[in-house]
Amino acid sequence: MDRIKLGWQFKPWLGIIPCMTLSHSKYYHVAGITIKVSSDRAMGTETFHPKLSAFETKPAARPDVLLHHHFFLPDTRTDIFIPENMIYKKFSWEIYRKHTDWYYKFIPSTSTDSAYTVYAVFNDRHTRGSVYTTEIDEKTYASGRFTSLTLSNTDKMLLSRLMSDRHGGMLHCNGIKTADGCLLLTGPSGTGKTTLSRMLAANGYTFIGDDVMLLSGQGDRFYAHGLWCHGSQPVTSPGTFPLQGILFLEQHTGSRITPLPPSENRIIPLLSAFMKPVLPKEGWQQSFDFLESVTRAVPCYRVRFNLSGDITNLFTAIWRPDT
Amino acid sequence: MNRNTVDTQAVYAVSPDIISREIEGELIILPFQSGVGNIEDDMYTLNATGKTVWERLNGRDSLEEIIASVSREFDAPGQQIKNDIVSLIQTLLEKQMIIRTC
Repeated sequence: MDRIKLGWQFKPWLGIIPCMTLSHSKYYHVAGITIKVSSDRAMGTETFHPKLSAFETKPAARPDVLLHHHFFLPDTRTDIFIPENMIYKKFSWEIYRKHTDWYYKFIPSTSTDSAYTVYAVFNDRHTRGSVYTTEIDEKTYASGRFTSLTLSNTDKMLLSRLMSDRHGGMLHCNGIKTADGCLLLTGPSGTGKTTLSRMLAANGYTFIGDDVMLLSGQGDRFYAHGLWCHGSQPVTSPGTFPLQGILFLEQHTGSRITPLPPSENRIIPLLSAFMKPVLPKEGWQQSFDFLESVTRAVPCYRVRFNLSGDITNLFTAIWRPDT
Repeated sequence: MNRNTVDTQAVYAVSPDIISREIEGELIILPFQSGVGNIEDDMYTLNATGKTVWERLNGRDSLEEIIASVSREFDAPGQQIKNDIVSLIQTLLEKQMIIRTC
């Protein structure tokens, strides 16, 4: 790993600048995937948002994903960013495909966190990527507190794609840690995922993920993984947890937790919560395999609850609180 | 004739631009555009009758033959079955999940 150590420096407008240690690469670990992020420029301790520091790891000899930041633009006048190659366009994102490579263009809107236009190119499996931008100067890069390794508004697209190749996926849900693993709370917006998560957190459980969690399976064992992306609640966790159950929430006048046996349809609500990656046809067979294995092996429950808080007693009767 | 107009004499088949999988007895259908699955919420499922019709879209039997076959299988008034199937085919055509082969 390259490391540049600056000694004491004198700058007319700042006076003495204390010694800083900068590097050109950092390593992050999420859901069993090690990502090396390297750069043409030195990274500071505040290049990435503090919430990512929990995912930072020591250098790995063979990272799973190599991502490099460049501060120039490739020639966009080529035959890549043309309508015939466009496969997706929504909000701030455009995705193009040429041969086996994937090309991303992120043009921020006023509602996004990141304020910079970014281009990126990835190989087919998204294990090698280059990010290009000309809008981030050295000072901003060193202390920009970027919330995304790709310098865009989110890493969800990249992570969901990576998980799809690893018998896994991304779920729109909250994560709740118990004494023995993790529960995932799913349901349409407004169902009460955050409300229930807070109720449970006040009763000995740990709220570990807001709005999104990663899942993976190994044989008949399934795991939930935290990530640095989140919804309105800044709740993240770098951990990996045995998956104890997926809970489909419904607001109701009463409170009840009902196991859903394999004979009862679970695939529909699971599909509703599944954050679909951008994949070619053959890739989707893998995702369907994964979803099918989840319905076979992961306990699922329907949870009906009101705001009285009674539901927490039902939880503690089934799953031991974390604390 | 509008290509999305249902013709009971026509033969229809599942589009090559979709992928489907039966999971837990539900038929899940995912349309594709430009060779990749869309990350919008564009997954569809079919109920039992719909699945029965879908399985008969083999590119050989006319829609009229399919309607007759399904009518024999389900205990429901023939006209109702026909109306339901035509409505389904209309929807599948509009969403480009099936194609007319002849």
